[in-house]
Amino acid sequence: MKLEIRLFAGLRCGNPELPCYGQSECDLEVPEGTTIRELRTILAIDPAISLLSMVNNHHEHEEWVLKDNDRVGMFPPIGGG
Amino acid sequence: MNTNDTVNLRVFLLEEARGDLLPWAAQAAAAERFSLSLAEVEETALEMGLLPARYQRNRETISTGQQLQLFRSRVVVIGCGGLGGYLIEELARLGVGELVCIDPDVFEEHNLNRQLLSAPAALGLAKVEVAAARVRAVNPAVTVSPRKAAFTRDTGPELLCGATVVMDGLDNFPARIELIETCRDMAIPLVHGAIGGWYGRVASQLPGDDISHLVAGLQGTAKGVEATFGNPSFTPAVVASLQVAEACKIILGQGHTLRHRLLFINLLDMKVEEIRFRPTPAVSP
Repeated sequence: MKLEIRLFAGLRCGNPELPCYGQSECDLEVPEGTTIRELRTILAIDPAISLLSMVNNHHEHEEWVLKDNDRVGMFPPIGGG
Repeated sequence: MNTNDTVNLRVFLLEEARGDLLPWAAQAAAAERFSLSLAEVEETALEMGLLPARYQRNRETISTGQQLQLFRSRVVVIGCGGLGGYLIEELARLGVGELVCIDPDVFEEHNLNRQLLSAPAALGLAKVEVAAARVRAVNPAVTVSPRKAAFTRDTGPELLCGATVVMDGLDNFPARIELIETCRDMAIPLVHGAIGGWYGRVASQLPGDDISHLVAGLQGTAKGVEATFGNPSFTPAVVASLQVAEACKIILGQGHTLRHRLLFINLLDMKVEEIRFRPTPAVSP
């Protein structure tokens, strides 16, 4: 299935085997049933970063199962004031 | 004031008003003549339907009755740094009657690029004292209480006592988590804001809500992307202004607040993302 990926605030795809390596926006083919946590692994985003994830503009937890044509956004923590 | 003084004050204000606008000089003269604070005169004027002339450009947006609602509000600003400086400035000019400014720190040189209250002459001074002086200079009818203290779960209930709205101007996750939880437990509206580099975010937690999921898993994390990108001058101004607009709406019960949604502001690409969340937040099973 195809996902629309949007990585925010400096997040980039860290997987050199993907065509979107180093990019923050891309369309990506992933296996059916992929969860947000698995997508993070596919994109090789540092697991130490605590992300806020959204699917079609709704906040979802990491075990959320993604569907075809979902728009997935990932946000790193912002803590300054 | 006895009844005669109250009547005399009201007569004086009516005589000095220009239409329904009360000039600043008349407000100050009334305070001196009747031995009242500027705040007491302002409240009486607003109760009479007289608008202190300093708010005349508010009036197409905020009625005189709503100006009285703002005057009778107590807003607690947690943090007097990047966000806090703009929060305090805008809340004082808006006409919020009581401001409590909380911060444990003094101004340092690395604050000068963005913190509105900072200046070379203020280096080494307590941020809350500079904030209080600024409020008194900008709008002397505002009652300002500086509290040089760190917000924690232990100090929180006393610091937030009587608050109409609390503003998040904190700069670290552990304190922010405690602030969100304390406001949730005390059922006080909280307007959350945070910044880092070109990016910022704003959300509101109203009584009955719980936005702690927005900072879930960050207990052991001191800083976010701001550790990498720093904080330029414009990001706190943008995010703090959104927070003050949100607080104004919460106090007046107007418009659509950021309840159950978060705005993520991306000034690098000039885009805003809206992230909606359920009343019962999404958490991993």
